[in-house]
Amino acid sequence: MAKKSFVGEIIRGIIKDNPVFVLVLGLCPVLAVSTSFANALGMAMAFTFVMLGSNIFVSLLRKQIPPGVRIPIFILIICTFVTMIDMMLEAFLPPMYEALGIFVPLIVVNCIVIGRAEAFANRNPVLPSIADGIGISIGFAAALMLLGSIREILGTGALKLMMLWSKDGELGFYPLSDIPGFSFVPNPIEFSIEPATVMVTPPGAFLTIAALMLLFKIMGDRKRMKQLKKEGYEI
Amino acid sequence: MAETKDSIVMILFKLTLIAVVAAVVLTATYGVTQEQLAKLAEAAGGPDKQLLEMGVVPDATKFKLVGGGEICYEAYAGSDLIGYGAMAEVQGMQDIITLAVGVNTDFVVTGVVVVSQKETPGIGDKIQKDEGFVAQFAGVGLDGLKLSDDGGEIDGISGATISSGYVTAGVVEIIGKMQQEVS
Amino acid sequence: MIETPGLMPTEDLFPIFVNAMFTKNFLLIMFLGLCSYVGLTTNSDTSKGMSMAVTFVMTMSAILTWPIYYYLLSDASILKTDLTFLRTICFILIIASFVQLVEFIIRKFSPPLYKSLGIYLPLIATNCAVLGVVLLNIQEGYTYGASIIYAFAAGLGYSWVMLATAAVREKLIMRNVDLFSGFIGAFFAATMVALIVVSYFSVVKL
Repeated sequence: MAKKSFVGEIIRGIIKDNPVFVLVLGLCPVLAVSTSFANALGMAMAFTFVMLGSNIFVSLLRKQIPPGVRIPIFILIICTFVTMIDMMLEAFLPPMYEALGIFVPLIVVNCIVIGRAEAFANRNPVLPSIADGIGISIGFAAALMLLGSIREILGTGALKLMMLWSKDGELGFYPLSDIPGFSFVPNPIEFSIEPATVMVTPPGAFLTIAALMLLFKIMGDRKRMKQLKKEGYEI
Repeated sequence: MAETKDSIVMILFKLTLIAVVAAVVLTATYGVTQEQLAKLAEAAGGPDKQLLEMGVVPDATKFKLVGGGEICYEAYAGSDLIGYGAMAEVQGMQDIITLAVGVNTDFVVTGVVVVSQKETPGIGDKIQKDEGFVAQFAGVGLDGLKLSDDGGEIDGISGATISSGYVTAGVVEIIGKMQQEVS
Repeated sequence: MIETPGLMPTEDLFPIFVNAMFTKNFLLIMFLGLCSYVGLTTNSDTSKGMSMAVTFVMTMSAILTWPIYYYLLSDASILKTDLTFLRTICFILIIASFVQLVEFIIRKFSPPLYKSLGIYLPLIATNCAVLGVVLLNIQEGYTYGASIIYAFAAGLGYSWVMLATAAVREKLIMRNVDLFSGFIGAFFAATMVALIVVSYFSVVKL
């Protein structure tokens, strides 16, 4: 087995095994929370916390976990991290806690987290598991924020780029332009299009992800056609 | 990878051990977060402090709970009763909206603040972001508290008329409760 | 001190029912239970089986979790301490155990049903819709009776969307439109059904 590099594992999680567009898992928060860039970012951060915690500890304990009860044990471990981030959000970032609602506790049944624990962390040492966790989280975050941005732009005509920051000692999600060094970023970024309200509603969510998946499929098909042609096949 | 299968006892032991560790970690986190939550609640203060800070009754210096009341607070400027204030949850289009309403002694609105809402981002949430919207409520009496489309004095936010309607109805509802508690 | 809602429903039950079925439909509006949705709606028979199983598990989970929350975890209970932060763990363990039990019973009493549901039976435990229902019951502060009705209605809401989408997708597959195969087709079908719900029930002015 070729030695996989740390960075290689990360990149795999983002593109080849992208949890949302390739593995098509964990869709519920992706569609529900992608109504705006800020919400998507918050969710991505909470998810990353749980994903890394779960992968690290499942991997650490993998030799000790009895196979018969491994799923309940995974759930216990994941649930601990989920409850932790849920409580911390409630105390330290109340507006984001309100915005994300029940989708934070629902990370515990997110197919991605349990799936990676079973398929990867349970069979691999800690360092690769960390890489996998980072890659998958970035892939998830990228998908979430892509969807969130598209829906926010098309649905409201503007994009508000926000970031987790501490302003005047208060932790919260602030516009990117508030962060020193980034004040050139307009807030919000206006687009001269007529907003289509439907995009921030449920049908808009399904439409956006369908369109994105269609786009990626066409791109992937083209690439494969080119590859086959190069190898001399008649198309 | 050969591993000896664990006996039932061992399995139960491991399960319990993990459960105990989880419980300990969570209780510790709970302690930390509760502290922070308590700090937040204290800083925000009770409804009387919040109503004062929000300025729904201008010139008020103190709010005091109406005798036997639940949400209605008497607004005092010094020792003169100048009006009433209340903060309550009302139904919005998507979810609950928390409103703070101030009225004078004739129950004419002196100020409205949308404390929290979960309306559609970018559309319904303008009820909170558009300062001009809530500013309209000042000086309007109960008869005028309807959307201008229904013959009232409140202009709904274009594109967010449903949420605007819910806020207006919510203000009426809160004033009704205030009147009940005052009498 | 948490206020414990009563046992008999005091709320208006009709709005709760209509909300769970349509205006706050779990699959289309609340976005819960989507993994099973895109995975199973290619076949109307599996959709039927799954819908029944999910409705059953949702209702039973509501029946089991409500008393645990209000009589064990809340600080108004016999234990006198606020253990509500353990609700997620407790609920998911209750649901998982219950699904295990259901799996066992189905295997004993109807092997063909067990075989046709296959791997999707244990997956009900990780279905966000099931955990979502019990969490929402607490969040909305429903009485015991109302929470059971809400869970049942949520199951019905899940069911009708599953069956409607399966009907659409089976036709798409029959016509072999490659561009709309698989998940892409599922999401386009979902867009259509969601549009119907949203515009007919005036959830949002489009």
